[in-house]
Amino acid sequence: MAVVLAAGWLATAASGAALVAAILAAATPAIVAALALRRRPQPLRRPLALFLGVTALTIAAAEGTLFLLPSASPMTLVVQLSLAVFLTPLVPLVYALTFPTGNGVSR
Amino acid sequence: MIAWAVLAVLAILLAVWGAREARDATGFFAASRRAGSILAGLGGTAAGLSAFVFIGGPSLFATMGAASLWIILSAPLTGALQCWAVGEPLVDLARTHGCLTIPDIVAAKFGDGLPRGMAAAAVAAGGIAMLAVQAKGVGVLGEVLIHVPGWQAATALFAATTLYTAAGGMRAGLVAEAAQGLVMAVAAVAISVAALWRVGGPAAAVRTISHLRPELLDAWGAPGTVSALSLFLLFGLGTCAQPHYLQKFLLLKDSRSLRWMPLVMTAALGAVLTVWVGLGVGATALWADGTLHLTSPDQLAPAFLSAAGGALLGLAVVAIAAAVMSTAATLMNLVAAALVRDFPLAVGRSPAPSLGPARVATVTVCAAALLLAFHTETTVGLLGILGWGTFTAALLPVILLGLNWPGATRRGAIAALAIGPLTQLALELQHAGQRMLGWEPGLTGAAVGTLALVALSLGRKPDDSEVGGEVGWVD
Repeated sequence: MAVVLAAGWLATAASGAALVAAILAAATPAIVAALALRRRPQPLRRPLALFLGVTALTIAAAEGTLFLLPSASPMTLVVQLSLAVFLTPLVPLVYALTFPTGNGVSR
Repeated sequence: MIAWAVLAVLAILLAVWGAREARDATGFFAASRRAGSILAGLGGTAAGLSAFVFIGGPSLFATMGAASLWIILSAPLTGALQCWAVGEPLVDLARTHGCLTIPDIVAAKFGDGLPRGMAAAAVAAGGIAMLAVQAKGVGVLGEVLIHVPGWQAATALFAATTLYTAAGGMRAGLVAEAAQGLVMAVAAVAISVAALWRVGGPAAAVRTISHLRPELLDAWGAPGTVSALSLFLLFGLGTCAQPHYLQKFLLLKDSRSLRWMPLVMTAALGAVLTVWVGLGVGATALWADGTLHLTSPDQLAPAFLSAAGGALLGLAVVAIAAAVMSTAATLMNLVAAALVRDFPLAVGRSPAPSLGPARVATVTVCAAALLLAFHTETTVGLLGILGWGTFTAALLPVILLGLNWPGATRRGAIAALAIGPLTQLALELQHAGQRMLGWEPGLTGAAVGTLALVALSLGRKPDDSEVGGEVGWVD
């Protein structure tokens, strides 16, 4: 997961300062929230990793094809949609196989 | 005329059945908590997808191109994320505290009074805005496809929806939504295949766009990377804050139903979203090569379907009507609950013991949405984003972080519920979202609200006395 995340963020960082600024803007509340959750990280840790992994993969798919091909290449569309089709059954199955996740504890 | 008569008969039958089944608040607002993963999953997807997908989605592709797909690229993730991050705590709280509404959940975690009232205000405001989207979508459809004034088509469809929703609440609404979800999925796939076939297949459609409108194939599009990424985050994370999605967790018969719910939701979502890509790409290619003549991108889907005619047109009308009705039924029920249950409880009053006020509120909400829909010039697509953004800004911090963080306090929740939507509204009114690197106002509001929740909660232990046992009015 760490490798996927690193690859995704490196790919996005290559696309310019505006995106890096946007990621920092998005990351600030996430970092603050993560700090707040540090005493009890279990509930959100795995869903957060899932979200970040899928996000990084999706961005990397776009950036990767943009890096290799012209900006308006039809292949970008094909790669993005292919990834979505691949992930559509996979992610819910990961959840089903992980269930029960223990995030329904009474509070 | 025959179709309208069939719709009216079905609505009356459903209303009669629903009125007999929904005899108390749990029946009216929580479908008697009898839903399994298939019913809740299909219903949740149908309620979450609307005229925005069938009309706004393809029009956004014609406007923004591939960049619009960032709204739907989070689709594989959203079902699992919802169940994992918020569904499980919601089901747990609903069982232990007797919650029937999302403001009930907020009250169970952060205490009654202001948190409940502010959550109810967000549900009411965002719900009315999103209902207006549905009415506006029907208006566009009615004028172009069946050649009747938009307000007449919207009033007829909303009247049928209001009939069974006011009579049977979610007991009737959920059954209808599940059936409507199936219809939408089948129709979306058929429309997509037809749109791409008419232009010579997916490859030919993409070649046409690549030749005539190459800018539409840019993955990030004209709005830029930041806007595209913010749309991905808004609709990826935003599903965890949409009350019409979250409500379905309150209808489940037990927590085990959560296991396969993401698979049902994601399969249905994926099938329906094919219309965004298939119709978006196919009809945009036809518009680009001059086959379709439009004066506004909002006309893309209706104009294509009108030109296609025949069975496809009929199927599309049924599917779009199903999309509108499923979303409208849930939103009407949510806003009615806010008006007759959550606002009274927030000020220390007991809600009326009978379902009469809830039924009157459902009819009133419908009328208010219709009035709003035909007094705004905002396009369907943008109005949809606006409603979604309001829910995200107001509810995402307290639902996603607030329910999962034992350190979240009442003070922090109140701050988040106030600052999030105020930030979003300020940015929307001043169009400052574009100036802030293109960052979406709803997402900005949620981020600021999250910061407020954490900042005002740190260093202060949650007061157990703030949190009640059973919440409000439990049957």
